[in-house]
Amino acid sequence: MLRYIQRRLLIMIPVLWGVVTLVFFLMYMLPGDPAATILAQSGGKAEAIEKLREQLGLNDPLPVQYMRFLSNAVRGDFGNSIFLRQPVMQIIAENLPATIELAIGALVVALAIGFSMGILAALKCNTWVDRLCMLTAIAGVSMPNFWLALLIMYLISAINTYYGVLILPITGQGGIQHLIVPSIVLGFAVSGSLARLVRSSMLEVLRQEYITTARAKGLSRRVVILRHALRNALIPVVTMLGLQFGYLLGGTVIIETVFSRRGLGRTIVDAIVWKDLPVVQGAVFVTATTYMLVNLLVDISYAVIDPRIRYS
Amino acid sequence: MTAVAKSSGCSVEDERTRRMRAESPWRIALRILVRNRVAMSGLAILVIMSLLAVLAPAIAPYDPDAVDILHQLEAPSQAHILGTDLYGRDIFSRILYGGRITLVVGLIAVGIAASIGIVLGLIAGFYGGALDSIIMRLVDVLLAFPRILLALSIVGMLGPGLLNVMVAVGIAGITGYARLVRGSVLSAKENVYVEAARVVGCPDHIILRRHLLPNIIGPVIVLATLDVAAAILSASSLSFLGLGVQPPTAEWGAMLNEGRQYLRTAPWITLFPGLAIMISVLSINMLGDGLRDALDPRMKI
Amino acid sequence: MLRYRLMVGVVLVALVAGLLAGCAQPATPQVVTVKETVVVEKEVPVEKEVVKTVVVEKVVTPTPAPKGGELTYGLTLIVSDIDPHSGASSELGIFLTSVYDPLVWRDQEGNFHPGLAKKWEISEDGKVYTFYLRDDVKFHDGTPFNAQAVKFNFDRITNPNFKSNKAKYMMGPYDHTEVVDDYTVKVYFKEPYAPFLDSVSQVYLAIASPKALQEWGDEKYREHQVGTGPFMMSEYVAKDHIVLVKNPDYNWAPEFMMHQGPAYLDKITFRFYPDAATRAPALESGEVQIMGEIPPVDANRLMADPRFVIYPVDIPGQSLQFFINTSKPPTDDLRVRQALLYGLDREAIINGIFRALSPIAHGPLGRKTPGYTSQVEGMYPFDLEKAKQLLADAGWKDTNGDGILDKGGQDLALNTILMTWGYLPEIGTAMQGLYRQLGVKLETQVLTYPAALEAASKNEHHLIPMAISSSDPDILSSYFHSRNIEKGFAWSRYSDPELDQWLDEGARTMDWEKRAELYAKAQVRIMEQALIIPIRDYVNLNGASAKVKGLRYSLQGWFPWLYDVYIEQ
Repeated sequence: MLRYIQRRLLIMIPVLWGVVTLVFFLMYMLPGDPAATILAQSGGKAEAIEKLREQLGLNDPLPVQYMRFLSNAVRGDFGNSIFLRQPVMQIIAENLPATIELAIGALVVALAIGFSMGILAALKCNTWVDRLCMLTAIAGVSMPNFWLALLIMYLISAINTYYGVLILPITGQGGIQHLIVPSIVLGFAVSGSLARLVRSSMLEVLRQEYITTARAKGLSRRVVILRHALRNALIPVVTMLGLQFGYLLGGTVIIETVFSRRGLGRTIVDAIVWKDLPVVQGAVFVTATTYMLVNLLVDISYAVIDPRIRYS
Repeated sequence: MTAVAKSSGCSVEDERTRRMRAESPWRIALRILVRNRVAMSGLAILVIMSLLAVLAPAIAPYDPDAVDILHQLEAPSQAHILGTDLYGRDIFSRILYGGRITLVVGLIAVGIAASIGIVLGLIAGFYGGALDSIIMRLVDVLLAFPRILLALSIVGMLGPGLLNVMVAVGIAGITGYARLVRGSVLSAKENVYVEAARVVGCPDHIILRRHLLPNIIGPVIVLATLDVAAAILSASSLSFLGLGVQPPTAEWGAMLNEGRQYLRTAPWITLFPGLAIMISVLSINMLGDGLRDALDPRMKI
Repeated sequence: MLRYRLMVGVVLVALVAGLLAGCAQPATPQVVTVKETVVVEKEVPVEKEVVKTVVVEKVVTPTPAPKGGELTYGLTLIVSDIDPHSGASSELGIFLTSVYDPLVWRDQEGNFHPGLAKKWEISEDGKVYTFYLRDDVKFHDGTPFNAQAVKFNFDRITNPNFKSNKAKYMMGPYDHTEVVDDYTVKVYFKEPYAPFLDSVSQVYLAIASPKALQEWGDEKYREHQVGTGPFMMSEYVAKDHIVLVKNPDYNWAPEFMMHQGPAYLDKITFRFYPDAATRAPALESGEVQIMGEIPPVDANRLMADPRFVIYPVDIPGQSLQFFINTSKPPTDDLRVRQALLYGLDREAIINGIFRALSPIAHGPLGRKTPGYTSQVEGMYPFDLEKAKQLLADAGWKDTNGDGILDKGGQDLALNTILMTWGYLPEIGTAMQGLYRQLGVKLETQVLTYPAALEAASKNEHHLIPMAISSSDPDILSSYFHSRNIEKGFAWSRYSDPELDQWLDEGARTMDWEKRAELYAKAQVRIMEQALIIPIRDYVNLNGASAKVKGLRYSLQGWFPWLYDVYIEQ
């Protein structure tokens, strides 16, 4: 098992190299000159552009810039943001927690809704309950999350206007309250696919012989479902969660924009828009690393859930 | 006693399905699909929406881009059944025209993703070795980005615009096909008939086309159908972030974005385009699910 | 004709209002209800002058009850760099104006008042500025404010190793600073530099505590800023919030403030609302008490709500304008450019998109910019027939009947670059629709800021917008001087030695009257040559809870004076 993890971690290195290299050249090709952007914003004089380019190291040939970037990146230093002036790693450290908080919040929502709908639908297979659950699930998957966000915002602010009460804060950061609405919006889409998967996986397991055996042994329906069926239905669900985590990380971009939240997703988008190369590099690097580590965790967790799976 | 999984997922195998086994797998699939009411209603909605989009010039009561500031932000009424936007443009007409863009974006983006992805997957799976490693590491690199971010960076590089959105969403979708096809090829390669074809000395491209492609086409069709829905969502997200189609093009995501600021004063600007996106994505998902159940219910897509 | 008379009337009203504002300060406060604000939205925008005055007057009321409270203030952009010496955003000044005092204050009318400097002298040749400093001022960290502190700050800003995005350029042809004695300092320039007094009145040349600057270094100082102002920075979480607390020792407010001694508010929290759609809801829900840049449609709605007050504040500097590229056809033809000005119903744009809450712009500078000339007003009234005639004279006709004019097989199509700020996509879309009546086709593309600049520097545009705020007319030379065509922002690409000379002379001339004259000539020339399509004067629609009293904004428009503000219980 340890050797397996070791190998997986080693494979990550070339992939990460590929990621940062790809981003470096993608960003290099983005149109725009950071020096001109800085100066145009401040009403600065054009004479200063060349000097600023020099200062920012933008006049060096591309291979030089690339090697400098790479050698710094190896040491975990992505330099300073061109516009924010802060070290990139500091910016990430300030924004990553908010994104993880949101992703976890959404995951909790998704698990809660997804599992209850999925199990319910599986147990009431082919009844109207099943159909309703599945319709909600497919609607959740099909609904643009930014639209759902706007609908909820409209609802909350309309209630606020007419009744003078704010049920929940909509925008910005703050305690758990500020997390509720964004988590629901982001988690809802995932809960849809989750519910469908839990349902089909449960159905498949429920048909297995050992379930029949367990029931025949006289175990209560409840025990059979929770102890035997759910545990075995979990494997495909865990795989999907690994994949969905990527969706959650990406989805935060839109959610953070709509709800004016700080976070890594919006940091990346802003940095792309402003062509702030060091920030894009660092943030994408961290996102990619997180994503790959989560996938590794998912693979490891198979072995925990299903003792039949062994890695060597 | 081990039951074969069914289209509906939980019905018991009956006489009819047993009879169908004698027919060709494609006809069986078609028959199952036709019997799937959910899938058929999805198809029906899709056909209606496509018709509306195609016939937009005949149906739309107004020019979708005609600015009429005097009648801005009007609530739904007889003159404008879905109201007007900030520029006094008729939202109903814009949604009709927007349908054309949305469907085209979805189809072309998936076309790009599928064609590149299938080729990569076939090569990787069939030849294996170094070629496989290179392709799969590339796929890993692309997979390390959340999809929307990848699309976003590509659009950032190419600049906004309809074509660029399709390319970006397409490229961001390649990995799914490459991995699916490679996996299918790897398992299909083990089949005796492929082995046999090789022994007889069949050239590679014939083996690929005649023996492998038909085996993997089912999952690809399912993935592609569901992917159209995902592509429509991605493209509208890009437009929503202001990086998609250019004004005055009527695109549903862009319309939502335009209406966002007027949510409190004119909620209809955001309500209806969002509904349109949801209905079209929903119908495609319904059809895609039906296809999957019909072709192979155990498919993990 | 009617339009013209109306305009004269409006100007008169504005003048009277201005006079009233000028002399009504000590007079008995008028009880004016908020209903008046409701009228404003229907009227021509200039009238809101009255509203602002009213708000000020109300505050003069001597309120015996203890004033205080806590306030949350909604900022719009996520500030990139909040070190005043290195950052360039307007947003940073919104909270730092309360943390620092300038050497010289500027009131709302543009007059200079003593700040950290009791008085100042400018040498005949305009190359040496002498400041006589107050001797009773202490930084928040307890260190004394003196001439060494001024020198330390100016040296920091102009240090070539220090990355400054704005302050450095405001220092102009700076040479060095000389400490004459503890409370006298002389600033030397290589060339005469007239805008310097305006520069030192701004927060970008704030005087920070040398001790704090040294202690934290350039990287960390922004999180631990120490000034002399009425509020002290107590917490900064990047991209999230900034907290200021009252400076109990503050006793050097400028004379035009409404009280002396420490500020009223105990604590101010600034939060970010970059998404315009979330701003009005945040204000309505009570999450914030003051919010900047409320979307006009929401502002319109809030004006009718007695719980809120809308403060429309003019931002001096460039009006929102589209530069017309004179270096390539078809806009190299003066007649075409003039037709674009005559043929655009700007009032429709202002009413439709800005709910009449911004005035129509007439020239390259907004009407509240020092040095603005009213000569540009009325140069290009909306006149579709005249525009059509001009285009016909220039040889443009619709030969193929597609509604778009053409000449020699080429459509009259203009590549129009838009960006996502300042309602530009909206304006662009409206312009596109309005220009169709003229037979002109706008091919718009919304680009990111850097990409838009790149497209302009590659000369790909016919029309490209810009609006930079500034309280000195020298801003014109960045955008119209011919030396800035190839590597700069003179996107009209128009070269005129006479215009260049006026702009150069303007930066060197010390006498304000003469400077204003030079810039007036420049503005008229810019409009005669139809180098830009001015759209609207930039107005920041701030919204506040009606409980917030004493709120005023500085001349620069973005920056609130929170010193006088209190929350009515």
